[in-house]
Parts: sequence; C-alpha cells; structure tokens
Amino acid sequence: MSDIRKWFMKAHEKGNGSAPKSTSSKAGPVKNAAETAPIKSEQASEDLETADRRKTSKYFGKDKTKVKDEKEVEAIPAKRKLKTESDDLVKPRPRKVTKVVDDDDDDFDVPISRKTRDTTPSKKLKSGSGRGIASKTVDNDDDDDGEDKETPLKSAGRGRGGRAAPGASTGGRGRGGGRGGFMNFGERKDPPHKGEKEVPEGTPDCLAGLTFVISGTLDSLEREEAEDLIKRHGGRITGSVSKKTTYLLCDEDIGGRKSEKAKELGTKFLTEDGLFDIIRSSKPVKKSLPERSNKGTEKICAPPKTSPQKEETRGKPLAKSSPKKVPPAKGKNKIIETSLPWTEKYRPKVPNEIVGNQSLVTQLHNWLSHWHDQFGGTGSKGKGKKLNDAGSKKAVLLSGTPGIGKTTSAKLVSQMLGFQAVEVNASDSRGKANSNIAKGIGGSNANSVKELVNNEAMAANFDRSKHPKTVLIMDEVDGMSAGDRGGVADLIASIKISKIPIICICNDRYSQKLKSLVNYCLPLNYRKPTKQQMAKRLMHIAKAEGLEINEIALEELAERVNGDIRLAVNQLQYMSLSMSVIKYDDIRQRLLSSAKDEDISPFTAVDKLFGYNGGKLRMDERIDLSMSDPDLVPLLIQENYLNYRPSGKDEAKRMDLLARAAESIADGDIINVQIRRYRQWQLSQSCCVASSILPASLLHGSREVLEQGERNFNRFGGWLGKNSTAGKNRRLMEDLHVHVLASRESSAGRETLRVDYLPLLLSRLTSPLQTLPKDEAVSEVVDFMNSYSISQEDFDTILELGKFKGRENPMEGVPPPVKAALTKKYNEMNKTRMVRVADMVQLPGVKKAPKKRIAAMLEPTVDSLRDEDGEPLADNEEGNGSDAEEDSEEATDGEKLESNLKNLNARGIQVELDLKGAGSSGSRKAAGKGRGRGKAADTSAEKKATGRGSGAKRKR
Amino acid sequence: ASSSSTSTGDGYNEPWVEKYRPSKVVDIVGNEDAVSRLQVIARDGNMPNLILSGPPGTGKTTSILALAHELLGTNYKEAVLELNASDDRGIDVVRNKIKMFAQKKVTLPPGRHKVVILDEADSMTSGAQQALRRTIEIYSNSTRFALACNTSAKIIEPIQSRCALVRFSRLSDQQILGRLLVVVAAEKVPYVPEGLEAIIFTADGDMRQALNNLQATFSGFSFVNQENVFKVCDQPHPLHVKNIVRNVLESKFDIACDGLKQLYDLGYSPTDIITTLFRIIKNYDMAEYLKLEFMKETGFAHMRICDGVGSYLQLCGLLAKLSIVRETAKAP
Repeated sequence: MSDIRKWFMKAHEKGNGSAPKSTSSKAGPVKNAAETAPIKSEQASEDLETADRRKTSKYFGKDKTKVKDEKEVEAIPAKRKLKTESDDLVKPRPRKVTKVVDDDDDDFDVPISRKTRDTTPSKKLKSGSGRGIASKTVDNDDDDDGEDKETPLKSAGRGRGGRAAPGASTGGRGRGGGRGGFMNFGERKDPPHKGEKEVPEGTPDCLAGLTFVISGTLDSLEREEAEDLIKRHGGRITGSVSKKTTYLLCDEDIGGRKSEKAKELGTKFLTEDGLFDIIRSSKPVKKSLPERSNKGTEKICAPPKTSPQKEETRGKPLAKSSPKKVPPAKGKNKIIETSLPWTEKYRPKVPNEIVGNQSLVTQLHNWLSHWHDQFGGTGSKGKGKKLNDAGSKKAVLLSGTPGIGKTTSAKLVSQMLGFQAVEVNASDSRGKANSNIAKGIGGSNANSVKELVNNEAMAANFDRSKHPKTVLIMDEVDGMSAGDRGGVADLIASIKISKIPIICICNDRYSQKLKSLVNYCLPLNYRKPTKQQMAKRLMHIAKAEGLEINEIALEELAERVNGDIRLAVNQLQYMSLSMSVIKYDDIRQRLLSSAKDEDISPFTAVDKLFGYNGGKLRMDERIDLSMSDPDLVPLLIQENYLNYRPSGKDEAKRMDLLARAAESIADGDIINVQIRRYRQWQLSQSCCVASSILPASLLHGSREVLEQGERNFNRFGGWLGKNSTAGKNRRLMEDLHVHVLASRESSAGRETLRVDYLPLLLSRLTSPLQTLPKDEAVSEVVDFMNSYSISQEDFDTILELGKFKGRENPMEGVPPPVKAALTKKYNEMNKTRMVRVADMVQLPGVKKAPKKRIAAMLEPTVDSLRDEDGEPLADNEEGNGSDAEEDSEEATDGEKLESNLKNLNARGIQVELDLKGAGSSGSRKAAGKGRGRGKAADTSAEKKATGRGSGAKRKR
Repeated sequence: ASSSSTSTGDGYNEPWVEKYRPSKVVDIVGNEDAVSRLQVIARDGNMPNLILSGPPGTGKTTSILALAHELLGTNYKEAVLELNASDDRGIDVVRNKIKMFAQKKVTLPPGRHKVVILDEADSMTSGAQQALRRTIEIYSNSTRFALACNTSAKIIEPIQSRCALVRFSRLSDQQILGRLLVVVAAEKVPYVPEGLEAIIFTADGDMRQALNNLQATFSGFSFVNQENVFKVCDQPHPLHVKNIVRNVLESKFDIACDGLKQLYDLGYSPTDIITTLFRIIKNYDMAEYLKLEFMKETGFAHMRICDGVGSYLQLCGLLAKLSIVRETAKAP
C-alpha cells in the first residue's frame, strides 16, 4: 500500500505546487496559504483517486498480473487531472506571481536569482513543482508535518542565501585588480587547495536563473568541477561577461578582460566560498542525504507512470498547441500518432519550427519559388538568364552534419510552396540508368524506381497548369556507393536538362565524390544550431510529453550531442522510458556512459592520459585509451610530454621525471620496432605501456610549457611532418644523384654525394655569384652546372639541402639581376640541347607516371622529325621500341643506372646529357618544355645530333 | 562424451549457452540500467530505434531477441526480420529485402511494430548503412530497427543520430556467478566454489565464455574444481602466478623462482607464462609506479621470448629484474 501512498503523495504535491501561489494573492502571506492549500488539494485528489479506481479497475481488470500495474493506473489519471487544473491556473499566474515578489522585496534582501526566476513564469512553474517532488517525497509517512515545516524553512533558507551573497561579493571586489598579463592567459594554475574543501549540495535549482562567468583560478575547484557544480544546481555558465551576467566567479587572481568588463557593467564578484554559501544555504534544513537516496526510489517507481500517462497527455497538448499549424493532410489517427517515435512526431510542421539555419531556409524558399519563373518556360534549352544570384543554379545542395534538419527543411519548403516532393534516397538504387530521370521510364531500364517514373510524368505534363508542380529531392547524394556507378555524373546530366527543381542533400560537401556536383548547385551549408536554440525546442517537446526537465539540463544535452537535434530527441525519449523527472546529473551520466568509447580521437586520448585524473584511471582503461590509435597516441605523447607539469613537483623533480619519461619512450620505440619489423603484435600492450602510459603517468598534471613562447596546447606529432620532409629530401637527392652519375664526372654513392660533394658543390655554385662580376660569374656557374649536368631543380635542391639552422643562406647577397641572368643563361643553353638519357633511365621507386610523360615528351620530337627529314617509319618504331625496352628495365641502384648509361653509350648514341628531373613535379614541367624544345630542335636537326630518334638513325 | 549421459533432461546435447539463454528481458543478467529500460519498452511497446553496443557475451543479442519476442509474441514470425553477419547484407539486400519488409503490412496491436534486427551491424559496409538511413526514418510508423554491434564507432554517424544508443558493459563477477549457480543447480553439476571462481576468472566478464567453459569442464571431468577448469582452459594457473609476483614483492626471490620452476616444468610455454604474468601484474594491487615498471620489464622479457629465447633462464632473469626494480624504483 505504501506505493500507492507514494503515488498519491506525488499527485498531491503536484497540486500543491501550484495551489499555494494561486491562493496567496488572496490570502496574503505565503505561509498560510501553504497550510490551507494542501488540505484542499488533498481532498480533491482523494476524490479523484477513488473515482479513478472505480473507473480503471473496469478497464484494466485483465492486467492484474502485477499489482504494480494497477497502482500506476490509479495514480496517473489523478495526476493528469491535477495537471489540467494547474494548466487552467497558468493564465492568471503572472500577475499574482509578481505580487508575491513585491511582498518578498519588502521583507527580504532578495537575491537577484529570485527576480530573474520570477520574470519567467513558465519556468518557475516547472522548477517549482520539480522541487516539490524531489524534496517532499522524503516524508511520505508524515506528510502533514512535512508540509508545515517545509515551506517556511525554505523561504528562510533563501533569505540567508541572499544575504550571504553580497557579503562575499564585496570581499571579492576588494581583492580585485590584480595583475592582468596576457601571457598568463590559458595557463591556468592548479587550484591551491584542490580537493580540500567539501563541496556542498543544495537543492537542484537553487541557482536557477543565475548566470555565471568563471575567471582565473578558483580556490579549490577545477574549472570543470565548478561548471559542473553550477550547472547541477541550475545555474548557467557563459564564456564572457555581459549585461546578463549575474556573478563573476573568481578567487585570488582576478584581472584581465573579464574582470574589467565586469567592473564596467557592475557585475557582482563572487568567490568560491560565496558560491558554496549560496548553494549550502539554499538547501532546506532537512538533510539532503535522505532526499538523495529517496530520489533513487522515486526513479524506480517512475517508469510505470510515464507511459500510460504519455498516451493520454499526448493527444492533448499537441492538439491544443498546434491544430492550426498542422496541415489537414497530416491529421493522422490517434493510434499512429501515439506510436510514433518522437523524432517523427515532433518533426517540424512549418519552416519556422526548424531549429537554426533560418536564413538558409528562406534562401531555399526563395530559390524554389523563383525556379519556375526562371527555368520553367525555357525548359531544357534555355540556360536561364540570371535574375539573382540565388536563382542562377538549377539545383541546390544542402550540406551539413546529420540530424540538423536538412531533409526536413527541404520537404517542408517544397510542401509549403505546393510542390510535390519526390524523394530519392540511398535506399533506392541510383545507378546510371536509373537516375536518368529526364528521359523517363521509356528510355531507361525497367528497374527504374517508381518515384522517378512519377517524376517524368509530372515533368511531361508540366504545362498543364492545374497539375501539381514537382520537386526532386536527391537525399544522401554522398551515399552513392559501389552499387550506384555513375550516379553523380548522371545526376549532373539530369540537372542540366531537368525541368523540375532538384534539391540535393549531403553530409560532407567537400567529399571527393561530390566535387563535380558542387559546380552545378547552389550550395547551402547548414550549421549546427546553438545549444540555446536546441534547448528551446527540446523544452517544447519535453513539455508536450510531460517530462520534468530544466533548461540547464537540456542545454547540457544539446551540448553533448554536438548539434545533432535528432539524436537529442532520441536520447530524451530513451531517457523518458524510465524517468519522468530528468535532472542535470542524469543527463550527464547518461551521455557520459553513452559517449564512452564512441570516438576517442587520439587527441582526446592523450588529453585524458595527461589530465588530472589520468592517475585515477584503471590500467585497463589506460590501455584502451592508448590503443585507440596505437600509432598516433605514442607520437602525440612524445610530442607533448615535455609540456606537462606533474602536480606538486618542483623544477628539479620535474626534470627527473622528464628524463624517466624520455627513457621509457625510447624503450617503447625499441618494442615498436620489434612489432613492426618482426610482426610481433602480441607485444603491442607492452609497447603501449612503455611508450604512452608510463610517460603519461609520470607527468600527468596541468599543462605548462617547458620552453618560453611555445603555444600552450597539444601539438600534433611532429614526426609525421618531419618524416615526410625527409622522404622528400631523399627523393630530391636521388634525382641529383642520378644526374651527377649521368654526367660521368663522378661515381660517388648517394651518401658520399650528400656528405662530401654537396658542401663543395654548394660553394662552387654560389660563391662565384657573390664574388665575381655578373657575366663572368654566370657563365662560370652555368658551365659548372653543365659539366655535372645539374639542372635548375637540382640547383634548388642543393640550396635546400645545404640549409641549416644558424647558417646563412648562401644565395644571400646575390643581387636579383644576377639570379635572373643565371636563369636566362641556363635556359638559353638549354635550348640547344635535348633531354633524354636520364629520363629514359627508370628511377627506382618512381611509378609508372614518368613513362607516360617521357612518351609525351618523345612524341612531338619524333613526329616533327618524321615530317622534316622524311625519316622512314620503321626507324622511328625501332627507336621507340628500344625506348620501351629500356623503360621496362628495372634500375634499382646506382650501379644499374650506370650500366644503363654505359649501355647507351656503347650503342654510340651521341647525346648531350641534360638530365631532367624525373620526379613528380619537375617532370611535368619538363613534359611541356620538351614539347616546345622539340620544335626548336628540329630546325637544327641536322646540325646537332639530338633526340632519341635521330640517335638511333646514326647508329645504323 | 560418456559423462554427458549424467546430465539430465532431453536437451542434453544442446549447448548450455543456448539452453539457458534468457527468453525474457527480466531474466537478463547485468546492465540493470539498460535492461530496466528495455523492460519498459517490452511492456509499453513503441520501441525506439536502438543501437546496442558492448563487448561480446554481455547479452546484446539476447536482449533484442527477448524484447522482440515479448513485444510481438505470436506474431514474431512475420513481424521480425533478423539478419546477422552470416546473412548477405550488402547494399542490395538493404534496398530490397529490408525495404520490402518495412513496406510489408502486418496486423499488430497498437504500439507494436515490426522489428528489423541487424546483429553485428558493425560489419555492414558503409554503403549498406547509407542505404539504411532513410528507410529507418520513412517507415518508422510501422517498423523499428534494432542494431547490435561491438563498437558503435563503426556505425556511420547518420545512423547513430537516428537511434538511441544503449551501452552494454562487461558483467561483474557477481553477476556471472549468480547465473552460473542457476545453471549448476539445474544441471546438477558437482562443483567447489573455487572452480566457479576459476571459471569466472577465465571468462573475463563474458557470460557466454563462462558457460562454455563450465560445460567444457563438466563434460571433460564431471567435476568443477580449480585444476580441472585450468586444465580445460589451458592457462598457467593465475593464482600460482600471483604467488610468484607476491613473493617477488616480498623479496623472497628463491621461493618465487621455485614457483616459476614448477610452472615451467608443467610444460607451459614461456609465452603463455609471460602473458599471464603481464595480466596478473596489470591487475595486481600495488603502487602504480612500481606496477608500470614491472609491466615494462615484463614487456622486455616478452620481447626476448618472442625473439626465440624462451628459456627458463630468461624467466628467472625477469624475476631478478623485477626484484631489482622493486628496490631501485623511485616513486615519482
């Protein structure tokens, strides 16, 4: 029976929550009202209860397997009726409430919190009743006693809170105006008395309506802890000080922009102790502990209540609130309505209901409404004279992350403009033939999707003005995958000839697949709605579903889902399954657990490992974290381990720990080599321990840069960039090496070339430019380059490789005219030469591409030669054939290269060696040049033995 | 095989995992929060689209199946489409079979919907998942989806956004023990408590593994005690290894070496010994810095063993190293 009693109590409280206020205006003092009201409502609900029992037992007679079931049924209708009662009270409320406030103002030094709270009556209704439930279910045995005690005490508590706050704030201001260095920004210290103070617990919404800004280091709380504390008690945190800010929360070290702004605006300062006082004093004198534990029981009892009640209330608020909005076509029958998931049920019905991105929706609206003015008459042949920017494209592309209303807005807008929307999405096959909508069913294959058929029919009958206009919504265009070959290209084709507007929707506009599509579409990029916007909408839904949830909790939810409003609604529905009162903590807990292993990026993993709580994680958790990306996490650790200061350690100790961490990282590297080289993957756990977990556990703490002037956030692993630079340099070096070998001036190995030759080459190439007069220097350098067959690119390579930190640039002091002259001279010399031999030698590690380029280079020469000299075709073909032979030869190292060269030489090919870089970027240029040069060359074809073709001829 | 005759009932040749699979949501062990919500769904209907994710053997599939049975009862056959990784779930199946099923009309009581169960959804290709997107939404008034997967990160974001995520975590030892006791009682398995403890240890939070090990032990030895369990689930005895570690920590090197010798003479491969050692150290209750150093040293020894020097000497060397580390390691 106690269960029933509890339910009854709840219903009773509900009535109570609203009743006192309504009577208070007549009865005057609030306290009296509190005493009279319960009795009234108690009677009322008692009546209701008995009535309902009679009624429900009839209906639910079969369900009597569980006694519990019956109980809920009894309780719910009672509650519902009371709710409607309170709904009636809503209208006259605001006036009365303000009156109450006035009374209060005379009596107490009212904290701002109350004022702000009262200005929003609807919110107060929620919070008021919520508190009623939370605190009063405690005393379900002696309800009357509890009633009497409760109200006066609470008001007293509030009064105390009000007094405490100003006192604290003056103290805070006195300490104000400390140092305000920009350099300190972001470099937050450890709270000096971390964890030493007991964090108070107050009523869940004692800070409701207050807005806080946190600045500087607090006395004992981490910033996150403080935020959590405030949010848990219903307060709001913003990033910067504005007029709406109630308190600036700061201790010791205030200064900087926030506090200046706060002083300017007259915002109150609050210390951490002040905050604690507010929270502590808000708590009713009854201990919060039993209350807490009771909340648990309440939660367990709650689930039965929500569901049946939901079905009842569902029809009502909806029908009441939006009958005009819902288009008549949407009027479904009630049963379907009740069983819809919330995401469908609360899908916006008019464009105004879409959360966020309103300007985009209007843009879409404009585009669609002007479409037919623009393209309608002309159809496929008219290109459409540009009326305005938005209308100049025949299709739009809506893009944005999932769950922010792209499809919804597309459908709504087209519906509003009277278009009939034909939706084709990823669940339809959209291959080449099928999406060829304009040709219609007649031309395309029989599998053509039904929607597309409709579409064709509509478009054909378009000139009949009565016929509804059609719009094609191509949903999830980035979802065209393996099965939809040629889908995007075909979509573009259909956009070109389309007689109807096409709306494309995708998630990632920059996806490689859609690159070509974007040009044909008007891009509309949907942004994530702000958390306030989302919270508003969620609040609306929660209200309609009869959920008790405060705004702060919803904002937290909105923040956690990262802008995805559909997910937020889903989460809300899921949570509503077992509880009807949702608090900040519940949301936090739920989302923490649901977002656990979702996407731990290496960065967050490193943050967690190095974070304050890094030491409290279990070993398995740490291994999981560092295994989230076993390649990247160790790199990030290695990049950033220098910049953490283990809490409570001095400089010497820190150095010691750094050394140990470095040693461990090195050990990890040894193991890593074993893993990679010998594929001993069973060692990966040990590797994780040595390379990430150990350093992190030694050094976890607050971030503090070791070196001055470094940016104070986690850097990306530098190894990757350095490694790729090293690769590039190696490649360039390889080019140079081949060229030098080809000149036959040297047969040094690559390493010798780099270590011994390069400095000398560098000085020979640059010092004449600095010392000798211009012409002399240029000719000397060019001669030198020719003798070693160093190309312009190689020249740059040598400069690049000779660069070191702290060493001056060898080209410094060389006047620009000299540089220009050098280039000019070199190019002039170049014209008289043909490139070939080195290009024909295939470089190891270079893929097929150069072959093609060489072919492209060769072709014009050959052609032109054939024209000029009347060269027999057979010769050329033979020449090409030998080319191909050589190309296919795999030259893997220097020796082979050399033998290649010798081979060419032995055949008596007299070729001036001008070796073009066969590297990726260089050779493309070379290809262009080669072509031009080829033409230049044929004029002097007989004079100089150039080109592969003529070389072959001479051999004969 | 002869011992199987001792087990009772007609379903003696059925794996216990199947035999004792809960058929009601209420019976599901562990993950109370999730299960309580599923119970609500089972009672009231209107199931939201769900993604159940968690490690293997925690009851994801079981709870979906139980939920579907409870929701649909006799209609289960027509109103449930169950596909797992053994079925073809390419993009065509999603476009044809699933879509057709979603469009199918089945007469169900209000609040009940057809259910598409996609087990092991993380092995679906992203193309197939893409094709699922709008289907989930468009037919939501008649069809609901339940996806089970091991890692939710492998489900594409748009699908995650359409579903409520229910997370299953590993079962605690008590929860597994509770269920094991039920099974043991029903099958009349003779056991000693230590044997069950050993089974729980080897299962590592995986109920299915626990039941399988229990059955294997029972059919092999007809008696569940520690030795038999570790004989079946061939692993160096963790308690033994634990003792070695304890002796090292208490600077009784000789005793630790004796223990190791014993283990080595039993014929366990050094790789097995060192893997168990690593696991034991990972969960051993000792100072963190010491633990990490121990783990590192064990890692090095493991590396040497991988190189092929899996001798007794190496293992003794490791113990010696650990002893040195214990004396020299400094707290950070």
